[in-house]
Amino acid sequence: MKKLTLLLICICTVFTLQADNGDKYEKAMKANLSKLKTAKTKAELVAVANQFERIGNAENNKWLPNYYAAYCYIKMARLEKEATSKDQVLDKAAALLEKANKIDSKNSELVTLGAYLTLTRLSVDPMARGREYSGRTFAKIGKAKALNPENPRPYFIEAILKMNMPPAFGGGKEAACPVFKKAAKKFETFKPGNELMPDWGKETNTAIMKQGGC
Amino acid sequence: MTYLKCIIILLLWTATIPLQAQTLISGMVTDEKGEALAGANVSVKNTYDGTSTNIDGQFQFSTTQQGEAVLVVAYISFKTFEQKITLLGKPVQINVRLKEEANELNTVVITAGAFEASDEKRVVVLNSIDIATTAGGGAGDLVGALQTLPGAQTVGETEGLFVRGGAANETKTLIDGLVVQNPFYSSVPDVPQRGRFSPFLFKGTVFSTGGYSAQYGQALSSVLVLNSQDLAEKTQTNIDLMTVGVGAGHTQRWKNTSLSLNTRYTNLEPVFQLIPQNADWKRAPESVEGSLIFRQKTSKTGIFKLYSTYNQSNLAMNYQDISLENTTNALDLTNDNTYINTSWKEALNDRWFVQVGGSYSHDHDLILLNGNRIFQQERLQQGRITVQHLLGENSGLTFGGEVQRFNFDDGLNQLSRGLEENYLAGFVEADVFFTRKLAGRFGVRMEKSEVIGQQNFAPRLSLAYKTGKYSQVSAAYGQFFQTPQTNDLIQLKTARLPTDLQFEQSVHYLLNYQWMVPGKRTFRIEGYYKQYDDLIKNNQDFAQLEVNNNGYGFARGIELFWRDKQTFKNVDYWVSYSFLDTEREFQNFPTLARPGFAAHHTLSMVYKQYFSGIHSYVGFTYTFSSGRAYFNPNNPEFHGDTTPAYHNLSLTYTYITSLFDNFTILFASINNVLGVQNVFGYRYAPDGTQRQAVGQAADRGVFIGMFVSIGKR
Repeated sequence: MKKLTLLLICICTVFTLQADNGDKYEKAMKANLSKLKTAKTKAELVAVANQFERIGNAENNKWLPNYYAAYCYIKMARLEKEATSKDQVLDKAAALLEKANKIDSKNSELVTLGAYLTLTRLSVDPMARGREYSGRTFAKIGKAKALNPENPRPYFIEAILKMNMPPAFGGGKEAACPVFKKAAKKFETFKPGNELMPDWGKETNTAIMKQGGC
Repeated sequence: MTYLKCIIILLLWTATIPLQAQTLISGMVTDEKGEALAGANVSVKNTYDGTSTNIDGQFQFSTTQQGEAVLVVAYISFKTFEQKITLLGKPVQINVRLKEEANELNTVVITAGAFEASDEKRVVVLNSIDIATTAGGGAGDLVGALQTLPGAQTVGETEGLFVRGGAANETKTLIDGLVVQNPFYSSVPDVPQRGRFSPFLFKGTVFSTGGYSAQYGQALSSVLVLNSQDLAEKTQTNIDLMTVGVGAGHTQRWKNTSLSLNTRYTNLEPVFQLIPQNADWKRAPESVEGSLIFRQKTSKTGIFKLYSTYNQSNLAMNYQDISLENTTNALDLTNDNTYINTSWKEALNDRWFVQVGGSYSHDHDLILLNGNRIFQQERLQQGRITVQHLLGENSGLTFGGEVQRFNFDDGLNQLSRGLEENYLAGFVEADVFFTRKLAGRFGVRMEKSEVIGQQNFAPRLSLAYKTGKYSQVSAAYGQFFQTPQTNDLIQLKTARLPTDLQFEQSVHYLLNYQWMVPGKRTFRIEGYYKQYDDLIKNNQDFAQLEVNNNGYGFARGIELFWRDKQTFKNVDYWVSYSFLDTEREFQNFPTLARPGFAAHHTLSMVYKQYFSGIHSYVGFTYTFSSGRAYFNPNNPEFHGDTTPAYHNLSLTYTYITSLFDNFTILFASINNVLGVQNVFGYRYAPDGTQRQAVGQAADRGVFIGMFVSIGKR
């Protein structure tokens, strides 16, 4: 009995020690995710992105840290004023996304973020880039939907793109509203795999729907 | 036993856990000038330990790592910094200076003499949409849009780019590095023809008005370098309905392949019925055209391109020329044109790039003139290879060669004659960035022409210096050669005289200042001086033909360009002004004189506005050019008379809509809205008593078109 207890203690100790790194990852990710929720300024976003990138560099078999780092930079691009700076920030996001894609190449969330990235590139110079980048964004949206039909975010990105496109190109309120509604429905039923998994877009989706009068 | 095992396992495990001693790392991150960088990512490589620099560039964090480690500092658009450090528990203090990576705002661009239009880069003057929506010249006509840039002359009676005192044949058009022998539809007297190529075929255009690269030759004045599109974006079908004809096309896109087939039929008869024409048409221009565009991605970095087009056109007119024996000439022209351009581009690795290309063109004119049968045939075959090697951050070496075989034949009734030219060229060019602010392009080109039995050696040089975030100064020098025109050579050959002429040549010097906020505003000023030598002189006397290289001349001028997309919302406008002073003695000129195609002052204003409420672009182009010199036999001074000034106001309207859910563009343009009766020169009867004005083919032009794209959006 004594021996058995000791063995159990022993096994437990070993497991706790082994689990330490996984725990560290989860803790760090959670802490940083809560910072991301409140990050508004460029400095705050950079700090969060830097931390995600550090985690990503230390955990080179996990796609999530680089995914979130790229997400931060895509948000940051909108805070930049000059087109050149926007593109530089987006280049950084693209590099991080590429790293994540190497770890998991068939991931609906990663492809969706890729669509968000091309959409943001389009917004830098809609007149010159509209034609080409809308095509690329639609292609990624289609791929993301195919990889996971339940993911609401590809619909959310599609709705934003359509909202901002002239009606003649297949955009406008009439084209966008049904997609926003579809996204909203999927946001209701969608459950992220765990606490760390992407879960953004729901509030903005609702807000834009309201604002646009859908 | 189990107890012992357990102890051993526990001991082994604890041994791998580092001691929880902490090392404090602190310091500051700046750029090369010592300016603090806020938000740089400082970390111990491959660990969670690290932080971001604060607003003063300072950082401080602690790590539990022990021993040898690497400190990494990363910042957007700067080169990542790495340094080995030893962590022993004692605080580490380290200051880091990061080097900025080269980008379009901190690196000079070698641009003297060139206007670049690109859809990919942003430090450019125009993109393909700008070209397609520019009023005037012709709707969606590439050359028409380029004529609104400084350096190009307004020549309304014939096609071509007349640049800085140069004739149209001194400008060469290249597609993917290969010369296009017949870039315009076949010429008829006093009616300017459109370019054969749609601006949408190209992703990039460089219009160099002087001092251009050693990669190109055989143009005394200017080159127009067109780079074709890569894979088509998507599968779609196009239908074009125009006042001048109909067109249809289909593009199919696979993963790594795309194929487009297009066809077009044009007939100007309906337009000519509605709008009065000055030319006396017997049969309005009519043409049938088919083209094939194939693209295949051969690897991640390689692409194979094939562009092939066939066109047949026909027209008939009565042509008035009082200087000829027959004042009225019945002319009937049928033209057949085939053009094939193919190229393959590949990156051998990240430092070596190679492009191989070949082209074939065949152009055949059959002219019936007052019952006589005249034919003219041109065939050009060429091959070209370009190798590019990158050295360092921006510097690089480009070298390559090209070979051309050109056959010319013409004939009158039973008589015919021919000429063959074999041409060989090689070039080397180095782009050297001394610093990011100072760069030079040094090139040489060697050419050999078989028909005249001559070779040449042409040095080219340009320098550029960045004077500020948005501004730079550039200078260029170059020597340019051109083989004499086929017409002169074949006349010598017919008269059984040797064709051992020299190359015609010119030397360019230019100085340029440019200020450009990418995508917003551009200001440019450029001054130049051009010296012409060995120009061809001919006496046009077939009995005692004399053709020599005794011609010469000069051109000098100053040009201004201003474009603004920022000041007014949804408005884009540009203004170009060129001052040109040029004289030459060439062809049959008895003395040094200003040629007929050169105006001292040329001004173009282009205005476009987008109205989002009605999804429409409205634009106008106004062009002014001062009078041009012409020959009056009653004036003892050769080219001593000047025509009245030229004015042209053109309007365009573009409406974007959907038709049965398909993307549709409605396009309308009116050329010369005010109906100004511009005169480009005069022709005199042989006795000098009567003259005839050379004017516009029509006082107004109207074009309406609807372009529908059917396909998944």
